[in-house]
Amino acid sequence: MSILNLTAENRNGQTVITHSSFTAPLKIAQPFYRDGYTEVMMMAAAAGILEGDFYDISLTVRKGAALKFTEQSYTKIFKSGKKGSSRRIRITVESGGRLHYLPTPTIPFAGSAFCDSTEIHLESGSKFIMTDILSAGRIAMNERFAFKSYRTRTAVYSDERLCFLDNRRLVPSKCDLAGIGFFEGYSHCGMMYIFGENIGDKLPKSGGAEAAMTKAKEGICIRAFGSAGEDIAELFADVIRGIKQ
Amino acid sequence: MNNVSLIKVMQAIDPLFPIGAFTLSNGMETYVQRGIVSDRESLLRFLKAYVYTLPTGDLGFAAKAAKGEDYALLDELFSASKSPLELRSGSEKLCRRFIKSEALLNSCPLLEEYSERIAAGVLAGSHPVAMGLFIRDIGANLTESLEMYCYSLLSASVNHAVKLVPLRQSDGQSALSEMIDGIPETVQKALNVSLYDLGIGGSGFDLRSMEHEALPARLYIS
Repeated sequence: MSILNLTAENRNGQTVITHSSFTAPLKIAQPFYRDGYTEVMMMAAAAGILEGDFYDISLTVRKGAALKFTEQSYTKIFKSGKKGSSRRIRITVESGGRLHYLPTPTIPFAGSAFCDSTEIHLESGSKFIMTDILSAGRIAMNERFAFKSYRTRTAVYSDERLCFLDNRRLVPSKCDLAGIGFFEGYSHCGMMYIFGENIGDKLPKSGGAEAAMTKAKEGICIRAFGSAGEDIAELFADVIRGIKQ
Repeated sequence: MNNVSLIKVMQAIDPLFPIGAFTLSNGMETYVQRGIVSDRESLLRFLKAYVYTLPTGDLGFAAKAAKGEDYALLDELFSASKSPLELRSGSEKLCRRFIKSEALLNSCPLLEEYSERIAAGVLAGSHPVAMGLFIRDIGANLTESLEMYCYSLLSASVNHAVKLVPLRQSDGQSALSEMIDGIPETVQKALNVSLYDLGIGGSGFDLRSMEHEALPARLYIS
């Protein structure tokens, strides 16, 4: 098991990482400050997520702190045998706290089996954005939907009441993931969830991505399809740039 | 034992039952306008993908409610997982009208309880959850009821496609007919679904429902 725990607090107007602990291969780069946020980049001293790996990641953003969490490189999920690999992420944002959780796109390799569970607890008065981009495989190598299974469940709680659930189970042997209802001919699929931030009524011009937004039970959900991870990442970055203060 | 309860379920899922189900296309309108569903073969591909999501979707929620799972929890999971606004509000509307109509026809203590909590603003209202509670209230055979319900969901999609594309009625019915053999297996999956898996759907289905909000010309409200 590899763990990464981070706590961000507001100290005299600046967001400081007051607690951090991690075990190999996970670690964080030296935080830096930009546009009112303290930015932390997670790095993994490994080529990707290997069979039997279990990542346990926990982020806490206290009152008045503003954290941006990113990753260094694409998350590659390697071929696995019976055990598969998994990841658990727990996020808490207190009232007045802000978190942009922006992991890099995930690439499930041929033969991989991955299980991902994310739980997010938001207090009223907090602000939160997350993005999630998944590719169908190693597209450059003409590999699509060659993974065994990809399971991900993201549950967002607002003051301990479930307000958004993104539940997905992709098993290429069970249905035509390239077709209707799933990737619909595209190679990349993205989801963005926005809570407490005002992004306006319209999506920015989305370049190569096909996207739409809606009002979830609480917060805004955007879904996007593209032929490259960058197309979706660019759209999501434009959404963040367009946030009205 | 006779089939009166099952016939009551058939009445409840009849397209003519006055709850407005015919106004919801659940994304089909976008699929047709985008040309993705355009003939019998593409309709069949749609139905196969749709039926794959039903055990963790509408059918799973109805099964869980009918088996006595906490309906407040199911209601919360349902409205959180139906992120496209039109799908969620459409189901809320059907749920309210369904309970109102059934309350006049049958004795439904669970549905009435559910209705009170919706009226109080504690719960949102979910049509599949109400359907499950109704099956429990009238004591209908669970497997048979869910098989009828599954058929009605597929039949509704076919009828929307037939009107929207438009397709020949015989093409619609032949696509629907191909789906019938798989209904019992789909219902068995729904009966065995875990709470953790409820709400698993397809990102494509969600995206098309979200795009529907911005279609310039629309006949349906979802």
